[in-house]
Amino acid sequence: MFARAPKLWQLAMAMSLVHPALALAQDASATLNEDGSVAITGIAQPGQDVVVPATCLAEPSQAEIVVCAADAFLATLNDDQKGQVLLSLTEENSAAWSNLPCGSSCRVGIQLADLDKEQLAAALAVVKAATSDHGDDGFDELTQVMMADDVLAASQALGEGDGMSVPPDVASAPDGMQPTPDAMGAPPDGGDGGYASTSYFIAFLGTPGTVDTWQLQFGGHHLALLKTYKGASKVGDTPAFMGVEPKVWTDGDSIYGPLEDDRQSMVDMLAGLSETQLAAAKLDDVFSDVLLGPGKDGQFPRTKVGLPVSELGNAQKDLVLAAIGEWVRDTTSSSADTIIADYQAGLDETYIAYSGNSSLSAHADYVRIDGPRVWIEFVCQDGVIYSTEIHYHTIWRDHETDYGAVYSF
Amino acid sequence: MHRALTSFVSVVMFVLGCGWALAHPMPNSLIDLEVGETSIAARLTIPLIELGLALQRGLSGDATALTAADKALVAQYIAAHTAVATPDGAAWTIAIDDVSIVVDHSVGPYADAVVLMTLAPPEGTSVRHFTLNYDAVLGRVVTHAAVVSVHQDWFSGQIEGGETLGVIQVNPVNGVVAPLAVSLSEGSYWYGFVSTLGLGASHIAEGTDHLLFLLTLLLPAPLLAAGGRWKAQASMRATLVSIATIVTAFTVGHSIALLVATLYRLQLPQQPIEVLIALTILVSAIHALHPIFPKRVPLVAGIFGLIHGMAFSFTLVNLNLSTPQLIISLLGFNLGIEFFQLALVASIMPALLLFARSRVCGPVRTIGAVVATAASLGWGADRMGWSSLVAEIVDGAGQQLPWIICGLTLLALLVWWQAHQSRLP
Repeated sequence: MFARAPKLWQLAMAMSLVHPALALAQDASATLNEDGSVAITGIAQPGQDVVVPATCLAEPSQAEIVVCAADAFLATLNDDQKGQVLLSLTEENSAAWSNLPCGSSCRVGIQLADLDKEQLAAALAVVKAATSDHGDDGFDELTQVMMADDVLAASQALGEGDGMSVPPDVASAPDGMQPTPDAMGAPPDGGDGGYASTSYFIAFLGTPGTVDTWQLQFGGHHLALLKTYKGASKVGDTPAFMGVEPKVWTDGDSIYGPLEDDRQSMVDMLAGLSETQLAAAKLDDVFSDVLLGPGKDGQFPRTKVGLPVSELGNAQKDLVLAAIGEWVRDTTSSSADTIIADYQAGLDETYIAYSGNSSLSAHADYVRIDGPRVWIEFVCQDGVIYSTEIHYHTIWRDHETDYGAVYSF
Repeated sequence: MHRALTSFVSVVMFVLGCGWALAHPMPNSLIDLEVGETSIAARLTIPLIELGLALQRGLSGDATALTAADKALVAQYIAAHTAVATPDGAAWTIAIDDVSIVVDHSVGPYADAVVLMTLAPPEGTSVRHFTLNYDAVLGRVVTHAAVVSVHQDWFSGQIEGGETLGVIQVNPVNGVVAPLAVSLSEGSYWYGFVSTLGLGASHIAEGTDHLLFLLTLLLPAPLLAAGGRWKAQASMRATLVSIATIVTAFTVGHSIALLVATLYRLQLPQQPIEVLIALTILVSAIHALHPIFPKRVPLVAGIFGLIHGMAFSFTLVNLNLSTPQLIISLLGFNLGIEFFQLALVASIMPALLLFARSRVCGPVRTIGAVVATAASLGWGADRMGWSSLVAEIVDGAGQQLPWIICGLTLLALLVWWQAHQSRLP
């Protein structure tokens, strides 16, 4: 008897990977260079022409600017779409983010692919209003992370990298106990998974305004952004997950490496340590991913490990602070200054630790900054599509203000 | 409360993650359990890259390059990091049966180490209640997790599939790996029997080829052959006797084959048998057009039944059951098949009899035979390795069988009603 349904499903999955985002331009290409970067053509960075409405920018506070942009976005939607964007503020909705290309099976909100041009610009304007324009941090960085998914899609479409081929044996899954989609429960929703800059989701948990607490949630494959607003102020910038594969790509003279500056700041921080300090900072445990990824809310280790920053000299402390800044500067400058000041005040109770190589250049090379409030992890992993290269995962959390402290995990 | 919700969400995420294994390999380990009467067979699937981090040495992802020393190293490591105990704390025995490398090519090469183990409780204690202390890989690679699932538990009626029992991982808060307490619901032979009954019914319900064979063979049942052609109508009584004989002969045939193949746990070659099944449909279709064995239909049904029975055996032979479980499974599985088969024959009978007594008798039989011929050729090609659109279509149509039978019955009624209308003055 040929159990065909699961096989067809597998085949469809494989095909959806080979023929991903239709949004991708016909001439899109991506080729792996010898130095590990990827040369691309025909792929644009999303959101470059997005502007936050001038009327919104005139609002007195940053929170009100975001509320104004959120209202402007909602005004472009029909009732059905509004229903998809406006969700209740629950722990379940807030925690619905991932570091996998699992589309709507692990996320809430409306998908960018389901928006028209005007709606899309308005959606990204909300994200832009909530993030920074600090160099290539903030909005620029996160739209590069989105762009990376189009690079992956182009790589797959062209058979680049090494994960491209339709597996020859999809129709002959091994017998025995191999998990199959049907054995492990329902397959992920529809065809909205996979790699595409349009496979990102935006949701408002609670009603945007200056009365009730509400959250802006935006994310996709390698991005999870969660901002909490209460009254006229922002009370939470975290959790903020980012990842990127490939780690660097080029289009002519343009070089994209959205997390390279973040990585470099950590490398510099570790390079600034003496041999003894480095030994003290090194952990025996191995990390092949961030410890507090999706689903690990409120699970900060009770004991801080590694090297106390209090033992460092001023120049070394500056390097720690500079590294922290790479993450905090992703948020709007008005609040970033306050947060950094607070993180700086807690520096003497902050620890830094790493595992693997301090050069952050190989699988499972890992670094962490853990303070009274700050929690930053950065890890290198072997690539999924470019498996000869590494890629990055990183998360910024806050011991006190994750999810705006709305939940008591 | 919140903690419970969080762990639930993370379990769901992991399960979803496994569903995604094809598109995006998950870096977690899988521990799949086959719960037997007196022991549990466990299959560990550990991503090689994570195992390498734990062992602090790389292992080749090439299955053929796995040396005896590597195997021994992995076996020793797993044994040292796996402990099973009764709820009272008495240790189970753990035997490592095999270590191998399996490479998944769905997204680039992704190699897993696969370790087979047998876990057995002390004499006189149950296999269904135990504590699993496991920290292989995750004891060192603290971001690693092991998803524990029941793959098969015959006594509780779980024959196929994977029910997740839990996720073993380091608690980031205190760095502790909590043991997983497992308490499987008390099963019985009755549960096992009922589930194999369902398995038999769903097996044939999905087996469009078996159903089409039977229907094709029954197609000329209401007719009598004369001079190498289907001519006269048989009486109603003769038709019913003929149908009953054919169905019984087919049942006897496939029951014998299923019994022998399963009890002797014969590892029959699947492909040739599947091709032969397509051939039985082709022969039946030709017979429906031109009688080739009008006097020997029951004999042919019996012989063809043997072939179909061999195909039925694949499911049970692969289940890895004890002999008493196997015998009960055979009974349940075969009864499930029979029930479904009888239901099918009963539901198609009105249409068959009405058509036989109508003007469209000939065309209906011809169309039926042509469809069966096309399907058999399609399946034949598919099973010889040429992917065939016909096979996909027929399999798809097979899932709509109740609607097809309803449609045919309505059509037959319409034809019959029209014939009666025209006879009225």
